[in-house]
Order: sequence, then C-alpha cells, then structure tokens
Amino acid sequence: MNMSCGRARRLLWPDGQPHAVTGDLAQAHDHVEDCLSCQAFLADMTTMHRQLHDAAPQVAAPIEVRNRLYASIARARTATPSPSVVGGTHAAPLHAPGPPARRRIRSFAAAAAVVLAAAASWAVLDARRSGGDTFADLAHEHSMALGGGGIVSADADSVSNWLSSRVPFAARVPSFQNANLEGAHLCMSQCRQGVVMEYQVGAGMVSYYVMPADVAEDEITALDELDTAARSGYRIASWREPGLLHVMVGNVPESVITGLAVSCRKQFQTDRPDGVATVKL
Amino acid sequence: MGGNRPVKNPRHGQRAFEEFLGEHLDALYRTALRLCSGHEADAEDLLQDASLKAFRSFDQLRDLQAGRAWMLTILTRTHLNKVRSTRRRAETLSADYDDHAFEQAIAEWRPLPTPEDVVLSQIQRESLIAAVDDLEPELRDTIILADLEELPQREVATMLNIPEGTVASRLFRARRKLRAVLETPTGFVRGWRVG
Repeated sequence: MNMSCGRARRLLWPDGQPHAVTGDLAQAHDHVEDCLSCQAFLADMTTMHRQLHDAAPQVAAPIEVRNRLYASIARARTATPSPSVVGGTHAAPLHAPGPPARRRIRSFAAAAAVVLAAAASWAVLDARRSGGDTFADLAHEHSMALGGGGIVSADADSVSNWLSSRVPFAARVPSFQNANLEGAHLCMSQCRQGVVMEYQVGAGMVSYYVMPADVAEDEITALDELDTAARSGYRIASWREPGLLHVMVGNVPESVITGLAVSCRKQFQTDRPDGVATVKL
Repeated sequence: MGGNRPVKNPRHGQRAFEEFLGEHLDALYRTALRLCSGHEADAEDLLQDASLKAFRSFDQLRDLQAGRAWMLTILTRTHLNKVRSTRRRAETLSADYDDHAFEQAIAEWRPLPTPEDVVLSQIQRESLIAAVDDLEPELRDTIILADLEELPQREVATMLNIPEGTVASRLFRARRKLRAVLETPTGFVRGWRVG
C-alpha cells in the first residue's frame, strides 16, 4: 500500500470510461482494496453524480420557445433583405435580424407557419401527396428565392401590390378596426406557395394565410363554413372558397380570431353576388 | 456508441435541421437553462444563438449519432463566448488544480454522512439545483454537462476545450461545494447561498 490516497483516487477517478490496466492502475486498485477511506471517496463521487443527475428537473422546451426557435431558423433561412417602400421611405426588411427580444416578436409569423402546417392537415385543404420531402424542400427553396424576404408596411395597398406581383392569385388585404397591419410575406405549405399577412392585435399577433387549394367539386358545398380550432396554443379560424384556403392563426382569444375572420369574409362578400367570400383568381 | 457505424447525415436544409433539432431540443433547453442559472430568457437567447450557428454548419455534421454531443458543444461554446465577453477584466478564472493539488484535495475528502442509497427529498433536490446555479461558471458548466446531462468526461473536455484531468478536478471542486446541501437536514444550503 505504497501509493498515496490522493494518487489512487485520481487514477481511479470515476469518469465512466474504460482504462487500460497499467502498473500504476493496478497499484491503485490494490490500494483501494485495503483503504476504506478511498472506497468511501469513490462511492461518494458516484453517489453525488447520480444524485445530481436525478435532481435535475427534466423540463421540456415550452411550446412557445420551440415555436420562436423554429421561427428564427426560418427567418435565418430567408434573411435576404428585400427593400420595400412605406410612405415613400424604405422600410426595414421583414426578416431583418435584430436583438433577441425583437427577434422574438418578429418571429410570430413564422411560428404561426408551424401551426399552419398542422392546421392544413386538419383543415379542408385536400392534401395531395407532394412527392416527398425533397420536393417540398425544393419548392420551399424556390419560393424563397422568388419571393424575397417580405414587406413591412401598414399600408394595405402597398402590401397588396407586393403580394400580387409574387403569387398567381390576387390576395386581398383586409382592414380591421382592432388589428393593425404589419406586413406580409410568402409562405409554403405542402408544395403550394401562399401568402401570409400579419396583424398586431393588442398584445397578440394574427397571421392571415391565403393558400391555393385544389378542391373537388363535391366538397364545394362546405365552402361557406367558418371553422375554428386550436393547435399548439394558437387559435385558428379557417374557411375556403373555390381554389383557395383562408386560415387565420393567432395568439388571441377565440372570439377575437372569429371576429376577424367574419370581418374578413364580410369585406370580400361584395365581390360575389352569392355572398361567398372570395379572393380573385 | 464507439463500436457502432456512424449514421451518415443524409439530408440538409431547413426541414432536415428542424427535424434534427426537434430530437434534441428538450435536452438543449434544459442544459441552456442550467448554464444560464435558471434564467429562462437568457436560456432562450442562448438556445436561439446556438441553434442558428448549428443551422449554418449543419452540413458539417457527418454522423447523426454524434448529433447530441455536436449540438451541446455548440451550445456550450456559445455560452462560454458570451460569458467571456461579459466577464470584467478584473475577474479572473479560479485556478484549476494541477495533478498534485488535485491529489491533495481529494485526499482530504471527508466521506458523506448520508448512506449511499439515500433518496433526496424534493426540497433537497431543488436546493441542490439552486446550488448548481450559484456555482462559479466554470464549475457549473462542467457539472451540468458531466453530471446533469451525463456526458462522458472525455466529451466534456472537448466541449469546454480543457484537459480531461481538469474536468475531473472541476467536478470534484463543484461536488465538494454541493455536498453542503446534502449535509444540512433541511436541504438548505449553508453559508454560500443566503435565503
């Protein structure tokens, strides 16, 4: 038992890795075999390791953190600055990087896009299989390359002009008494390129999506229905018309998002004598 | 894991990265939360910064099986860079032990008075984690990765860019401080954490 306790303990320090048995290591084992103090030390280190691991709360990332994180990644992916004009001055690109707090606010729209993906499967959009993830990736890539970052503007006409030059349908921009238009950008769901308009509603945000949809003739009967749901903590209101799916997603009460959806439909009702909400194709 | 064949990262792009991130997100968030001493906003910022870095270099990850360690390395180094950039010049890192000093320190360890199979009470567990949050950053980072997340000490050494021996000595120093929690009957920390 020539080896000191300190040296034996260092050599046999429990690090979870196998060690080649050297002469020193063999001596250390011999030492510990006869040394109750060293045995207690090694047991204590193992015990504390286990106790610390067990004490760590097994928290999961909250859904809002998860959404903001994915939104920031989506924004980083589409971080190409897109000059836009608001009242004659150049507005900041929608996806301009900023400090974390600001980024979190800005990330709402993309977070809502995550919800839209879930909503799309629930909603009336008939999901033709898109040809696999590779195609979806390519379509997304193409969409972002064509569309630029987005537009930051409170002016409905500016936003409407920006959108209409980028998508093959005329996406109208509704105005609301209790919601302020913030801007718009392009989005992609199931290989279909759509648009999303963003509104600040009190402390919340609402994203209004308009997506192309192939609708079978026998499904047209449900066109006038307004559906509501909740996904991942967000409220969703949706309706459709021939060829288009409308989805509003927001962190606002159900009554608010329903009110916005009803208002939106009313604003476009005059376009069709039958009263069905429509967006011109 | 060592004997397993590497699982080649077959896909790149945002969607692939999001799927990959989703698998490790809870562990990353948990680690970020502890690295930031339980401050949720700081943890989220750290997680966001690290994820964006990882996203930009995702195509460099060749083996998906090593993905967790790769992400934790990015998270840890992002955290260290932040800590270093905010640390005042007058504040110096506490000196790490050399082999001799480490041997001396561990030779002086008094065995824990609690039996080995003791199950900590909830209040003890909470106090223990609060005590981890209060450790010096370099001790805290080491114990979070090695004990809380149970990463091999070799990987921890790589993540923190320090020798394995330093990982061991930091673990020992951290545990020596944390044993105060276990030695108090109520689980409250004596002396170095007030209130």
